[in-house]
Amino acid sequence: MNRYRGILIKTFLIAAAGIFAAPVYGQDAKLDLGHLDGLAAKASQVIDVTVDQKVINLALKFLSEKRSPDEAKIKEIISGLKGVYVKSFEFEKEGEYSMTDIESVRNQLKTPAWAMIVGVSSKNKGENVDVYLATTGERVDGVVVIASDPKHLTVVDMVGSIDPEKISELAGHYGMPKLDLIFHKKGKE
Amino acid sequence: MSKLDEELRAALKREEPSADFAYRVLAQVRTLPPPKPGWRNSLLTLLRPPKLVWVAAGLAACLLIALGVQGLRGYERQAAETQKVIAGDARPAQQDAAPITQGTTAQPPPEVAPQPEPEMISRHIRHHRRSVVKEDPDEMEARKAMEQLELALYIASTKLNAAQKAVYGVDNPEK
Amino acid sequence: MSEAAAERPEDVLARSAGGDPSAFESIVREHQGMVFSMAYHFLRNRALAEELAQDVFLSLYQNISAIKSPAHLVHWLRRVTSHRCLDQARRQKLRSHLSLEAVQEPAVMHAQPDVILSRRLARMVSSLPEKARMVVILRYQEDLHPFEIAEVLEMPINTVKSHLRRSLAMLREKLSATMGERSYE
Repeated sequence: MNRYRGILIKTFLIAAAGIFAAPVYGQDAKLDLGHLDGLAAKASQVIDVTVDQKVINLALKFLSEKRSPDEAKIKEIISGLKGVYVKSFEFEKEGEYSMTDIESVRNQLKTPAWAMIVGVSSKNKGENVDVYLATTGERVDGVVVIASDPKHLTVVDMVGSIDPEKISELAGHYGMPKLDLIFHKKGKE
Repeated sequence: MSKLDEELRAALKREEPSADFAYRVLAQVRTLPPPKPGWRNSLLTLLRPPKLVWVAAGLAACLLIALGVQGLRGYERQAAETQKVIAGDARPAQQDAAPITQGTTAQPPPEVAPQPEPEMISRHIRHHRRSVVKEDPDEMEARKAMEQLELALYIASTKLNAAQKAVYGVDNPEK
Repeated sequence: MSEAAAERPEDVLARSAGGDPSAFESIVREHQGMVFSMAYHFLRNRALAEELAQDVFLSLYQNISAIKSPAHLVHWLRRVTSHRCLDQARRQKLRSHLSLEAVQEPAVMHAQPDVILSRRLARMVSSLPEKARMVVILRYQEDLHPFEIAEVLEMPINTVKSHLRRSLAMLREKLSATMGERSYE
């Protein structure tokens, strides 16, 4: 009986893990960045941008395929986005934010849905840039960038069904890099 | 030229309005009366070729001058004769002569043709545009949304570029 | 090549002054970009800019007989457009929304034109005070010298230079903060 109960509990736990994990896959890859708002009081400059589906839909209305081919292309590329969330802080002096603040973001990216594809550190300058991707097969569901140095902290969360080929088309429109190379790097790992 | 100059020229380069802009302007123009030629144009038209106009004007001027001279000579002759009469018949002629000059001043001033009113921009255009042109609120909201999205994408792209630069040491690996 | 395009600009102007609609259309098509762009960069609203541009051309139609030459036409269009823009701004107390958040970023050089940077810069320009804004537009869109700008706006040349100097300093500061370090010095 105890053995049977043990199996049942394990099964339940696995199912529960699946249930809790599923929302990460099925849900938008939107992180909770609200805990970073406390840094605003210490920052000399703050950028806080929330572009959710509603704003994107409005922006899509503004773009007109008839006005120019550029706008038509941008409209097509952006149509897969569900949200872009930015929190960026600049501080007067070092030490105004802690590793805990960054870890609270990184912890949300430690699920199977996310993979860090770029992790760059410069010990001399104290700069770090991490890029995470959430993918479903070949499709990218989200991109997160965490960039920090002693006096700056920026977190960018892009959510939505993003086609890597279309992202690369953004290069030159929005200065986007050729992320497909990054994706290929990830695939090789 | 500084970098900012270049960027400003790029940012402020000329753009075209919508494809039917000229059509709409012309449609409105057709509802207006044709423009009246200004006094300059009228004068220029008169002064321009064909040369026949010059010739005709020249001839008319000559004729007028000739008539004027003729008239003046006739008047002088008359005046001289009158003087002779006056000289021959002293005072009565002088008294008769006086009314000639006096009569001139008593004449009523010639009628002056009313001056045409100066040209003005058609009032109805000003009337029509006097009210403040208001932007469609939906369009304003959409435009602001687009600006927000651009800002967010701009920040995202600069960070991604920084990452790529760090990884590959180049900005655009396809080059 | 159309018949109108093969004609001398002086002749097109003369025909237009004579009431020829095709000649006036030719004039509109030739100069619509300039007039619309001035209004658009000033107002940052396409619909409003098109309406203003239409007004300018309707006014031109009414006053075409006063235009002495193609150069005078361009000057007249710039002058009237500038003044209409300034009037419009005064009526609406227009102030574009501008996000001045600074992001300390490494300078990123792109081989392709950075469309989004251009759009941000254009928006920064539209947030300048009205007269300074028009000075910058005439300088960088129309490539006019300060003395030409002074003629168009009927403003002393020193005032034009002062507007330019201050506006560029402001834009440089904002861009340096956004793009990082000494990119725009």
